[in-house]
Amino acid sequence: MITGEKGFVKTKGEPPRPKDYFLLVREMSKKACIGSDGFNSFSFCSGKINIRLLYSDRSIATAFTRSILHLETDPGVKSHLTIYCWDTFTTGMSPPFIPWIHRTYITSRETPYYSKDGIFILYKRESHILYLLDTTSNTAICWTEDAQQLPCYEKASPLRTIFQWMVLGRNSLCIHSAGVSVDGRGVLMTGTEKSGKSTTSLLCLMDGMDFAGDDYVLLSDEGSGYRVHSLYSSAKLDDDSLHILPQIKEYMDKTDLCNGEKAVFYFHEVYPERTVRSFTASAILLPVITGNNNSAIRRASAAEGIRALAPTTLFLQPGARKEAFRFLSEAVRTLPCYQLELGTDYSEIPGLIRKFIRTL
Amino acid sequence: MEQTSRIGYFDSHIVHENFGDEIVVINLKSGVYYSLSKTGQFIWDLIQYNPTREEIIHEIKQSFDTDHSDIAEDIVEFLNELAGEELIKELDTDQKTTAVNKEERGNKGRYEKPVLNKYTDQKELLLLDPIHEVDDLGWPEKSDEEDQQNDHQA
Repeated sequence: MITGEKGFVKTKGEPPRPKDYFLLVREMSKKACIGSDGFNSFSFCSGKINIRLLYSDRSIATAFTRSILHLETDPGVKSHLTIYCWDTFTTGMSPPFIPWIHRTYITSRETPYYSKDGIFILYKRESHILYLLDTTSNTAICWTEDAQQLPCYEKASPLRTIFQWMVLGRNSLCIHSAGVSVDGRGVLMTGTEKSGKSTTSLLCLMDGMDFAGDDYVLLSDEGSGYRVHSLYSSAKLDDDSLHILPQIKEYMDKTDLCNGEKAVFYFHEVYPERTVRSFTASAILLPVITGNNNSAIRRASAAEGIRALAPTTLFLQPGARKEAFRFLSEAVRTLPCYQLELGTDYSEIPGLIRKFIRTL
Repeated sequence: MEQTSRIGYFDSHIVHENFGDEIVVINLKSGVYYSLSKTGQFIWDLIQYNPTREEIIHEIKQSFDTDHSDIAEDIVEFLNELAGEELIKELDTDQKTTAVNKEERGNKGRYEKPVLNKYTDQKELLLLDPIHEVDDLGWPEKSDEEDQQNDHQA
């Protein structure tokens, strides 16, 4: 037995095949996103990928572009990907129900995901959001029932699933990491939830260092080295981090908490001059809270690097996890890894990192 | 795990990489990841040749300095642990993929009991946002009858 989902319309007869399903939703998306003066659009670029976002309503644009506004480009630039973004609330239209949601998935919390012959489809039940991509026509679609109801984490890092699909096979990967730099060279900072990654990276931003991202950045293998590209200008902070960084409190969007506890800080809105699109990656820092007074940086092995970087990146990767693991393995072999032992004297941490970057 | 059965990696849901003095293995299904070094790394490396349990014990005795009488017991315990974590499995085939290159191995020094280091700190993350690839099972296939009708129309 196959069941529909809230917000989808059940069609008569046999459910469409994946390619047909994509074409059906694409036609619907074109109608949803065209206004009286043509398409409403926002053009942006991350890495070497130019993207044109078409949206149905201003509220959709606000929800999906707040954290990528710093990546805006000239709308005249030829795009590599077109993304249609729309919701049922503002258009009155609903996509056909997803035929592959099997009964077993309804009872589990798993996210069903389809990928074959260049068609990618994923429906995230938790966020009530549908992503589709056709790599033949380089067209993607993002639909939800009501964009205003999207959870905070979807707005903080919007369209991530589409970016992850799009960079496959392009010597790039969306990775779970912060990126800070000085004079065009910098470090990736990666670690688990309580490693101090966000606090440390924001201490660097407050100290005047350049900032590419807090949670997710794009890492590209340029052949001659690796480059970090900004994706989102959002940083999620809990109360412990805000205690260390009280000056950020006034900028936090406390009305929209992620996972019920973390508030979002859109750093581009406060520090546009410190927000960078990309920098040369020179090392990977693995923060760890020690409880000592002073902080220190010591060399770590590539294996320590992959253990910090791979799990958080791979498990958020819809498909192609084996390819992603190979990419990350090569990155940690090429880029030197260092343990960043975080002490309790926070004032010395940015200086230590700045000095370290300058020695690379 | 039978003594004479050949052993192989659980390729469908694991990824692994050798970083010189440590091998990192990730079980993509469970969200658990592992590291292996020294004897454990040696055994993991051997498994690429699809050896039997007996062949692994023989290779250990050939490559390490040991007067350890419990080697067989250690190895069986270790292989059972790897199998229990769904990192390796018994193979249907009786064939090795390739011969073990003994010359490359050399002397590995003193034998130490193999250890599987297990990390479960990312399990929660996996359970928070699990992604399950659907294919033919998830997307209903056309019936043979329908395919025949389409072929006829074409």
